[in-house]
Amino acid sequence: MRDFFERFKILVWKELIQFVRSKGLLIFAIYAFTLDIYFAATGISLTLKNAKFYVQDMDMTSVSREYAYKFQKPYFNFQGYILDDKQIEKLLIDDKAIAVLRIPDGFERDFKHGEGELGMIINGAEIVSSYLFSAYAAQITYNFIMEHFPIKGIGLIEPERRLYFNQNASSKDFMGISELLTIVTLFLLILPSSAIIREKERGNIEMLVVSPVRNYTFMLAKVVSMSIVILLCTVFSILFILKGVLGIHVKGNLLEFSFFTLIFVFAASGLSMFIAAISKNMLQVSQLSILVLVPILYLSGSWTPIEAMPKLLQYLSYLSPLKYYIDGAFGILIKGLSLKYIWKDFLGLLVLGFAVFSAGSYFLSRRV
Amino acid sequence: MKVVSVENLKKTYNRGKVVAVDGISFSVDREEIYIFVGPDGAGKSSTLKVVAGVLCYDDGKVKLFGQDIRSDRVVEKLKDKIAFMPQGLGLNLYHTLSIEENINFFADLHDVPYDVRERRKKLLLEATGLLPFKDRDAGKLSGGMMQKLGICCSLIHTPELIILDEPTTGVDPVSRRELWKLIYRFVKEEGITALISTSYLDEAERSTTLSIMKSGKLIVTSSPEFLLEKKIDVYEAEGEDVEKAYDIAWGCFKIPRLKGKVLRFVADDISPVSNLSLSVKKVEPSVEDVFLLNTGLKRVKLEPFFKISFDIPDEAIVAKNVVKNFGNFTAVDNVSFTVKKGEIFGLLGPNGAGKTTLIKMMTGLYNPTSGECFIAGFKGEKIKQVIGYMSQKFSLYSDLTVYENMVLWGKIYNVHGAILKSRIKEALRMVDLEKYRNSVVESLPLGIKQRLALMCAVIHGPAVLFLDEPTSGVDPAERDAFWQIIRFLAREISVTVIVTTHYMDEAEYCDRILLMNRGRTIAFGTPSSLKSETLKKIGMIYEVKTENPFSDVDKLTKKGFNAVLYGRKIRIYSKGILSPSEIEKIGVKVFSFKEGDVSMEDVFVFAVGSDEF
Repeated sequence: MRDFFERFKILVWKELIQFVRSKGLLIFAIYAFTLDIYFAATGISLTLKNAKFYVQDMDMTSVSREYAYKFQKPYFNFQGYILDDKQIEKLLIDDKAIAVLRIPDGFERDFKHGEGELGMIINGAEIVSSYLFSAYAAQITYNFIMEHFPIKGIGLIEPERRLYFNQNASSKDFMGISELLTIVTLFLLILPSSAIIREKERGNIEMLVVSPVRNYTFMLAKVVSMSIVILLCTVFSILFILKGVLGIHVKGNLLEFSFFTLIFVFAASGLSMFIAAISKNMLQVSQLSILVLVPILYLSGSWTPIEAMPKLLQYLSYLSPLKYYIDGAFGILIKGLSLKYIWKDFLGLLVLGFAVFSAGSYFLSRRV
Repeated sequence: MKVVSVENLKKTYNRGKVVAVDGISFSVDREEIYIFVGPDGAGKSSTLKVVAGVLCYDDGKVKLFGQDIRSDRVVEKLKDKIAFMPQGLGLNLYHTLSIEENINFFADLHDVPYDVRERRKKLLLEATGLLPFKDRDAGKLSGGMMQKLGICCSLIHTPELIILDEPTTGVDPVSRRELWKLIYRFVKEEGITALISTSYLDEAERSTTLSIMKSGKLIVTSSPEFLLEKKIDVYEAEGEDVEKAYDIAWGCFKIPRLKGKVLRFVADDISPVSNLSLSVKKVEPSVEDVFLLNTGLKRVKLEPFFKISFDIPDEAIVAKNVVKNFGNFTAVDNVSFTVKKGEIFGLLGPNGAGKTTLIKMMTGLYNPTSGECFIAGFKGEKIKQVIGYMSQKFSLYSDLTVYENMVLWGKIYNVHGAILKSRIKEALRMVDLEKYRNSVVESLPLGIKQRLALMCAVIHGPAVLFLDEPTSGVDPAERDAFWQIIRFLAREISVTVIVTTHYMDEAEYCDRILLMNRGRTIAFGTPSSLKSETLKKIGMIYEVKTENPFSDVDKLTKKGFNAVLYGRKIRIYSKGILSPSEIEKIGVKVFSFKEGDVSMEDVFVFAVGSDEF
């Protein structure tokens, strides 16, 4: 038994040293767990910000000006008035504006009679912001009408919003955490398989097979050491990047999250071993990792809500370990739940992880 | 006009931190075979690459065909006149293209017209004997065949200068002899000039001019004849007290080497060993003697730093009718032998003969298709703790330090704690690795790496040690140190050693040799018995120096002599006794004529050659 533990310990230690000494991988890991997450959280926005627009006001009355005034910062950014129709096209082509509001002559007169028309020309090239623009604009217009023509006898129905979990409704929290989970998955796919392939390529593996080291000891040492690396990086990233730099409110118990991640490590490293079993060199490892990562991401619900997918894909999503991980991780990190509330995800991950891990290590041990 | 002239060439790497070539000058005439010989890392490759125009240099003047190659434009113009084959087996070839497609590709690179290409391709394929395999993928060829194809591809555009970087490293003696024949043939027939590097010292004698290179400098440049005519008193001693004499020799003589049962050394006065029971005779100096005199040898002071942890039977290895098939290809075909405890057992054979496969079966990496291997009486999992293994490719962790590697392999083999620590300390001290203790392995020279690999392989006190081409490309002084260790392990600790090698002089260090070809045993015995058997079959061997060795060897073979060019000498194998007059009769002017010794290379080439037909 002592032999086994000493051997296991030294193999894990060796992997850690090798990881630290392989400059390329180390720099990539540091970048991915810090800057990449920062960029994703601050750069990708799901709310409307600073949307530039022009107004072609042919009415120029107090009502028309009041209407235009409703498009306020920080969501909107008023650029000025224009007159000519030709200018509209040019502005949109040059991406100088997301939209142009057209207010026809006689708008105030018609509006007071309870009718009236408004035009809105929206740049559809940037689908997200144009979509958001029209939604926000519709809301503004609705409110504008309601202010002026309240429905008599009932009064104005105004919903009061209360946001749970992410009170600011900032997409920063969502993007930061989901990027972290994506990075964790990416590294779990790449690190163990590349550590195995490196040994194959350099011929170290022959020496190990000749030695008393068993295949399972060897593979377990790889997975364990790489999990240590990834867990450390994850905790670091949560404490210093998500909480520290980005100021995201991370709730929930970090220990519980680490434990939950550990279960995910099993599932993902099973896939990684599968990749190692069928690739011959590092190039194939990276190609296959991308090939495996993309469907896992699509099916996880981090890009599109699962409910919005076609039925077939909804069923397939049960096979993506990332789905359970993301569900559970959001539960812990954003909702502040403890493990017993996310037992379904926990169980799913455990079952799937066990299956994938056994299959992966079986394939690999036959190839070594 | 000189084909190549180089003055004060300097080449550094890593922004000047590593000096690869340190101000060398040399020049090459038309139709010369100019050989650079030297250990790994001496700067041979850098020099050749600069001359081939594929590497920039820091300082100096390099002229090809009288034109300075400082500017890229000149290099472009000269490219049709030069061919360059980089180091490494088949590195310039496309492994998924067939032999013919590879040659066509290189021809197209140089715009060789179709009909010229076809004619030349046929000529080259016939000369190399590759014609029957022309549709085979280059990746599926043996090392020797790959190198031949590499040369074909270099010669397809009829260059005037060919630059070959270690074309024979990792290639077996038979293929090596054929490669040299090929080079000689094209030098003679087409008047090309060859610039070649090699790590085999004996090959240097095949040159017209040779330069010994070490640490970026040229130590000696001369023709081999002139070099070997220098007054060096080289002796070989044989007899009962040879091991005793070896100890004395380290104190009194220069560069003592124990080659099997023969002690070779350089001395002014041999009286210190005169009262031992030895027969000492003076021999002709070789390039190796000259090389080592310039670089020096080192004594490895060894003490038993471990005991074998197992009692093993006297028959340390028993192989019974071992067969290994890969699909319908038989890699090892019914091989049986036993190795005695404490023996140094050599496994020889051409590339692809099945040596590595055989070793892999003995170490448990492969399962035999049929037959059995017993290591120390064990089979299967149990042998793992008993054996030590050093694989063909360097396979320690090159991103760990020397010390970390030793700890790792020690613990993998269940050596722990204080025992491990003291053993590592002893091992590092004895093989002189202490100063490298905390260096990352990657940065070390090849010889040091191999010494470390050997130490890692024995850290757990194995009873049986497998070494698969442990010294390929290592410099002679390092190789000698390596063999001192192997000899010590076998003699003093009774470790049984199985070793494969392409160096024929190393074959003589072995107690017994198994020679394989195409998966089968073709010769088996002690080096001396193999030699005498071969001599019996050959008859006589003569070494002849003539006026025009290149054309004379042709004349001789046409008249039915079994003649081979060896440097500027011609070796003639003959059933009966020959006299110089018989040779002069056919118009060959003989300068010197004497009987030659049968070498291990002769044994090898003869055994493999007679197996083919």
